[in-house]
Amino acid sequence: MKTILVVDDNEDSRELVKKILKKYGYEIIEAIDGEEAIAKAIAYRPDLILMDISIPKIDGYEVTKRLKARVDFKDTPIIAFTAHAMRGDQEKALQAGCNGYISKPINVREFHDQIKIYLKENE
Amino acid sequence: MFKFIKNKIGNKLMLTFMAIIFLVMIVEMSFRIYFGVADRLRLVEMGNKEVIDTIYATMKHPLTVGDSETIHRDLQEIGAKYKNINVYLCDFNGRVSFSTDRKAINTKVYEIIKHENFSKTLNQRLSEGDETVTSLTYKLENRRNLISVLPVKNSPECFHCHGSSKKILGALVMKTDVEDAYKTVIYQRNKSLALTAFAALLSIVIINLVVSRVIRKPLNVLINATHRFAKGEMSVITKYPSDEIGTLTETFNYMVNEVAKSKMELEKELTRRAKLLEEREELVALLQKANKQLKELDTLKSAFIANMSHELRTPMNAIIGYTDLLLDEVDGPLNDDQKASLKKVAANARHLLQLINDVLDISKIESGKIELRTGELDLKELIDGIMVTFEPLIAKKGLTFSINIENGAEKLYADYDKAKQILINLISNAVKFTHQGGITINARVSERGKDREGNPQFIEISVADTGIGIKREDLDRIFDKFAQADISTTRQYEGTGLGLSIVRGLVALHKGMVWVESEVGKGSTFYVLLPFKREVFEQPGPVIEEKMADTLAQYFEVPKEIFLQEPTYEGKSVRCWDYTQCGHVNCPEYGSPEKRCWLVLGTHCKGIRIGSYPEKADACRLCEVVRDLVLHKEPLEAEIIKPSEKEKVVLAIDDNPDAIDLIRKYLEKDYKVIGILSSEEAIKKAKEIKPVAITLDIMMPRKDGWQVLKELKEDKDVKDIPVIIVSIIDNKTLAFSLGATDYFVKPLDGRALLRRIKSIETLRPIKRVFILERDEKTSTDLTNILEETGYEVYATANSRQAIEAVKTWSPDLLIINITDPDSSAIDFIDYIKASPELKDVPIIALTSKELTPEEKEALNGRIKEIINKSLFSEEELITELKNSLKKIEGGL
Repeated sequence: MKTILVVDDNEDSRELVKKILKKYGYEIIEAIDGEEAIAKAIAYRPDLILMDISIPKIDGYEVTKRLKARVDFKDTPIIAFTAHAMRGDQEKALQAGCNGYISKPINVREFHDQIKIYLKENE
Repeated sequence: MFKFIKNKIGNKLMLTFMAIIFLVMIVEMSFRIYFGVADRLRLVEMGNKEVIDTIYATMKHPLTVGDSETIHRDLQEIGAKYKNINVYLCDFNGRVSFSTDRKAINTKVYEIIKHENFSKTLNQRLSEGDETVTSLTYKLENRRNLISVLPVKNSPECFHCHGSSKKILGALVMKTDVEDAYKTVIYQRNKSLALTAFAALLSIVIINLVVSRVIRKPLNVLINATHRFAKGEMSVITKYPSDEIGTLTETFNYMVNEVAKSKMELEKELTRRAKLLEEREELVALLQKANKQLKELDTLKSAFIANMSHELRTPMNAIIGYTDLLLDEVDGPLNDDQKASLKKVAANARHLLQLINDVLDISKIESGKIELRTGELDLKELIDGIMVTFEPLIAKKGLTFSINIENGAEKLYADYDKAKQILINLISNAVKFTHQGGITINARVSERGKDREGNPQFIEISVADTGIGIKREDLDRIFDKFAQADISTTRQYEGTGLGLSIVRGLVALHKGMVWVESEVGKGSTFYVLLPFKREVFEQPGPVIEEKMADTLAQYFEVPKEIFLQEPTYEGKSVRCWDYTQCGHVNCPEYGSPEKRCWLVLGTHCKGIRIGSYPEKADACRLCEVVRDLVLHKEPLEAEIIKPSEKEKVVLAIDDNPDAIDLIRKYLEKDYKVIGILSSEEAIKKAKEIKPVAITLDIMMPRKDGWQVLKELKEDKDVKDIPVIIVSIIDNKTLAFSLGATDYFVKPLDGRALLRRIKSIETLRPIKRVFILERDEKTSTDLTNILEETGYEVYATANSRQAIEAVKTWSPDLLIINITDPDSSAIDFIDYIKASPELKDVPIIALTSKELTPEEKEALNGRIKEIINKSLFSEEELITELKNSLKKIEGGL
């Protein structure tokens, strides 16, 4: 069973992701701010992290940078998951070390497919 | 010392005078020294000669007779009388025989007068036989003596004693002590010299005083004043002589006054400038502050946009996501009603999201936050990618769809995302507004926007549909924000109203253009020019393409090359959007947020062709920038639109084409409105067109509306054309006094204007006035006044006669006194109102009393004006009547 860490300060957003992905049998762990995100990432070693960018305490870019700086997270896909739709946000996320980018609002029907790509479940 | 002389004109003069005086004095003194003494002495000498001659004459006789006693006695007398004279008579050996000095007798005269020269002279004289006096001056014992020698000649009288052998018997020697005389002379000379010296000194002093007074002092005053002047003190000299220095001083004073005057002006100017500078600095500071604030605002705006984006999309995420989950029946099956409702929620949520996205896009375009990432794109791939999304809808609506990409038009050089967005917006519009038929996308290499060498740079992509089409009047607004053709369309076809605006913005970023051709009911074709050459992005400014240059050239009747050149304004090379701030009030784009010159950027930003809106292009003719850029000459005559014979024309004079446009909109159903923007042509145009009415703006450049009105009313050809003022300013009194028919204050009530023009048009000019008045004086007065004013008048006192008269004499106006005792005048009015030909003739009722409400009621609606004669004096009555006439003539 794959574990996914959902980092988002908006409860509804977290719930939505949980609701979509739960039926595919993932274990969902939630974090509501940057500090919790780092703590839970280290504690649970998730297979994938969905990282909102605008989160309290430490922002998503910084969390990503810190995690990607560690050897044990080098290969963990971190997907920027944000409502920032300005051009450049995507670049910033990729520069910070994110492996992908999914913008909000998400497409419920395509969301799992997008996740699967990063989890390399298609292979 | 020399400097002292050199630098002072008074001193120079003084020195010159002194030199002259000294010279004169020296000459005078030397003369006196040299000649004065000698002259005096010669006088003494001459005196001596006479004395010696006299003595000899006295002695001659006693000598001849040998009377020694007499000689002695005479000599003694002389000696006693003249203490300074010694006379010696010596023989030819020099031995003294007789003398004033007894002791000298028998001594040699040489021993008495001991002087070498004297001995010589005496010997010489004694050897010569000449009875002349030789005078010599010697210094003897330190005193000057004058010695005169007179030889005594032998004569026949003397032969008896002395024989005849000797020629000279002896000599008479007179020694005169002239020391005292000499001293006196010297003394006198010295006195005279002293006097001269004194006189010279005195003259120097006097001259000095005079020079001081006449030259030095006024000069010094002048010099000091000049020094003060040089230091900036502007004082004039009040006291000055009337000579040349005076003239100089006057000139100086004049100069000081002039300089003071100009200095004052200069100071004033300087103060003004300083103030201006200060104001400018303040302004600059203010501007800098404002600029800073703007920049901060801009940053804030960007941050705001970013935040809004985030904040709005976050809840949208939940709304759309949960709705979709529900629709997917994740939480259990839904019934059809629930599903239908949820679908509406989902659709509206997506629409809201689209709106948010569009607003963000527009904000980004407007704030210049968009950076293009240009690269080569495959057009076919791009369109195919887009069509995937639209295919289900097209299929559902039963529309056809085809793509036709010509050779050479396969590639674009553009920003992938933006090009996609442009095409999505155009295609989604096409699909949205088309209900039958289909959509065709064509792409070809464009003839427009070629580079300087004539190589094409743009691909023209057209999206043609067979949809509802766009009304002509909406074509120029369709690219504006929130400008879906009309509100009903927005209702029917959901959309944000921003799509085309975004398209225009994005296309402009690609230096391309977008325009539309459309016909209501037949469909629309949107054309987009997008570049396929990288070089396009390296050129400054938008490319003025050839077709537009053609249109402009045709319109302005100038070679099209003018429009293809790099535009310059006031000698400086400028880019097209530098014109955006030209600020010409006549510019149709003046005050619009676009602030782009409509002419230069016309099709770029508006997507319509010049020529369809002559007034707009006319405005461009007035635009200084365009004139300078394009025409380099005076504005061309606006094209004369000749009305057809039957058309009723209203001439609208307003410098603002929009105002004319507005008037046209209101009147165009019933009138042809010809607008002119230049007040200077008003009279000419009015004569040419003969409009039924003129609307006139007041605030116009060059010549204002008052002037135009005055000139219109002074010209006999056009003075009868009613003029309606349509102005932002409200000065009805002036307008009516100048002869305006009516006055509308902007904002214009167009419907009222239409009603008014209609009422004016149906007016019959009043020429014939019929008077029914019993009072003979009033009747005559009125007749005279009206006839003087130029009316034809028929007056009668009897209503029966009146009825007969109007059967043959048809009046334009009736003046009826209704307060006659038998009320027969009312019968006359009844007759008039019953007559089909006369019922519309306006009536002015004269009364002699205040009417009762009942009486007023009875007249109600039948007469135009009631004038109570008893309230007015005779003159006032005339004025009142004239006012009523004017009112009736003006159709009020």
